Amino acid sequence: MTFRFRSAALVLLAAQAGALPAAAAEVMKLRHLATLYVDAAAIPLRVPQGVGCGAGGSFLVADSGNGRVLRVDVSGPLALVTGVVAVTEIAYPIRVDGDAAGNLVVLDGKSHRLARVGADGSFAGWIEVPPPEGGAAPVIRSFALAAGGAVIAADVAGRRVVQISASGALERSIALPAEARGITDVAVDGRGSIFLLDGVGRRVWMARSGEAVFGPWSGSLAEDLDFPGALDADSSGRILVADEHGGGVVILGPDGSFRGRQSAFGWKDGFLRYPSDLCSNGRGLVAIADRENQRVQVFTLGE
Amino acid sequence: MWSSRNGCLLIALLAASAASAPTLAQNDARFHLKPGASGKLCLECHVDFEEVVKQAAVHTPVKNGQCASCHSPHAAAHGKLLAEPADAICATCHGTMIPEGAASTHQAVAEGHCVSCHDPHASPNKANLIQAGNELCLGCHADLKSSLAAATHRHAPVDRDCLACHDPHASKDARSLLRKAPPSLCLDCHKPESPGFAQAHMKYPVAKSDCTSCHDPHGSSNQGILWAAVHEPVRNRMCSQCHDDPAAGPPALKRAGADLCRGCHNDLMLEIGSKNRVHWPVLDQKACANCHEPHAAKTPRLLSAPQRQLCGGCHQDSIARQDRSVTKHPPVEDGECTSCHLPHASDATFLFASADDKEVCGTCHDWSGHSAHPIGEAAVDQRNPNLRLGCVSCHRSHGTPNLHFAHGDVKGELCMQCHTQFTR
Repeated sequence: MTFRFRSAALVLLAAQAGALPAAAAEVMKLRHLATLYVDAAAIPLRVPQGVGCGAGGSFLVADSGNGRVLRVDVSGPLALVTGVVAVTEIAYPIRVDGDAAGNLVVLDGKSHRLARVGADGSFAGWIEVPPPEGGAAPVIRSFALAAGGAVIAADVAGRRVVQISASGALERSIALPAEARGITDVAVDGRGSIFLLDGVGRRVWMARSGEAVFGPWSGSLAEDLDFPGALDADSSGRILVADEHGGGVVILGPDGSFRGRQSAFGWKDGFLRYPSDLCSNGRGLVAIADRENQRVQVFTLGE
Repeated sequence: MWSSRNGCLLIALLAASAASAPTLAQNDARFHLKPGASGKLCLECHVDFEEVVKQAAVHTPVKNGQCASCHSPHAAAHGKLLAEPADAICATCHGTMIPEGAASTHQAVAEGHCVSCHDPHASPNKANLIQAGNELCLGCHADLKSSLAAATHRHAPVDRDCLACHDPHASKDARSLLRKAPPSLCLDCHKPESPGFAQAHMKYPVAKSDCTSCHDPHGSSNQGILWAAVHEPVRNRMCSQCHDDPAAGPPALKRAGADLCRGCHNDLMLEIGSKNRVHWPVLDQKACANCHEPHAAKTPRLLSAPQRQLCGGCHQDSIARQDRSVTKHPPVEDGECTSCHLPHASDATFLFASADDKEVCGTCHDWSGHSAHPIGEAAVDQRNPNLRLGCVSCHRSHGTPNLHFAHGDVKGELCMQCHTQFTR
């Protein structure tokens, strides 16, 4: 683990030496706030693969092993399940996100398709992603919800990221970078920039709103993490990356610079085993799908 | 701007250059030898060298009596009174054996082990080689020697001379020390316009393909020296199962990605589709070709490479974790990833064959005899109420810094994670 200390130390030393602007020296910290182990009926979570952000700062959990989505409110140190969504069409939810009205978009890990679920928990249909011309049927690896309800989805069969409007129209299609080796997640920030996580290549790519190609955003993260499985943008333009194999979270500044590594591999509250997804709710809270610990943890993010 | 410092530097460089390759006259002067004594003086004691230098190939400095080119006659910091380290002395004269930016380099050359192949004084073989012909190469490349012995069809040049295709030192442009990259190298002998070539390749235009993607260039027991693992349509000469008719132009695939493979492997595809978790490369644009060769391969199941290399190509961190681990887990160390993981899909995380790690580990380990520690559904993990104790509660199969790839020091730290009441 010495290399990771080295990365953090470099940031601190550079900041002390005045080599970096003051903002770059800011090392962000995750502090454990709450852990969700069971629902209101005391049914334990099973292989929770995904988390998303819902209405009013709430969180959504893709409780994959139980084939359902949980709506979760966090109040102080308590994380409480306020609703359970289970629809027969979605056999194995692996990613979830929601809008301000309580509607959900869910990625089914079995069919690799995106489904819409209404605020009342009813299935509202599949999101049809047209295949590329002459290409194979889309296989959605991950997705993010943009402002206005557009869905940004990574189609690994078509080697592209597509933007589907709230009405279901294909608005945009951006080819994956040729160098990208294994996409694991996609995120979108408040300005509409799309961030693409290459888990195998261990780097982040970015396409600003309106851009037609992805460009390199972060440098290689190989020294900072083992195998990144998910990322999300917070309201300050920082990118949080879940190090699935390393059991931690790497925080990158708005310029792609390393801002710290938080948590570590472990079982107790505050530690992570194979974190597979995370979501920053814009109110200073970050939920992490702590998959192999069979739970979801909520952290505060601050200096 | 010239300065005395530059002058000193130049003089030092010239001196170093002169010292690295002294001429006969320089040696005579350096060691204050009597006229004509060079070489002969050494042989007064090293009498056995009189026979050595009678051999067919004699190293030029030896022939010229320049023993002091390589040896310091009085004292040296290196073995055999060598004037330079053994792995560097040859390069003082033969410094250009590896072209700049070489695509491949013989390990022995890169490490300066020239004497692995060459006798520094003399030999009955050309180029001072310690053995003649292929025996020299096969002395180290024992795997190749045994596979050649087993092969019923051998590539003719292999029996003649390895150097027909390989440069023994380095190759500027090609992998595996090849004199030229395939297919250019192969086409020096094999003419694609010949009727036999066209017939053997079912009239498909393969002249621009890498021949070694199908053929073992040394030899094999398959007809056409195809690699040991051959895809059935290739073996049966049924190229049209996957490719359009060659008369239609370049050999295009009939379908893209996994859709092509589904034609024959539908049962496997259905099984993959029935699982909750799929290995993502199966579903991407390259699909099956991410891991499998479509025609023939050296590795069983048409894998593009042995598992440690193939799986480690993406899962570098998992291999690195094993490399750092104090205790090695044989399946990881030996590249038998599929001992524990299903390569295509599974309902369990990590693509294990079962969600119960005792079942996975139990294929090799008898956990019931492992310890009296409670394990299984009734044993709640004290660190986390949602977990039950299993093998991975204490062990991380790809390795840790602790003995037995435990999650903590087995003399206390590991146990204290749960048994906190015993913490002192």
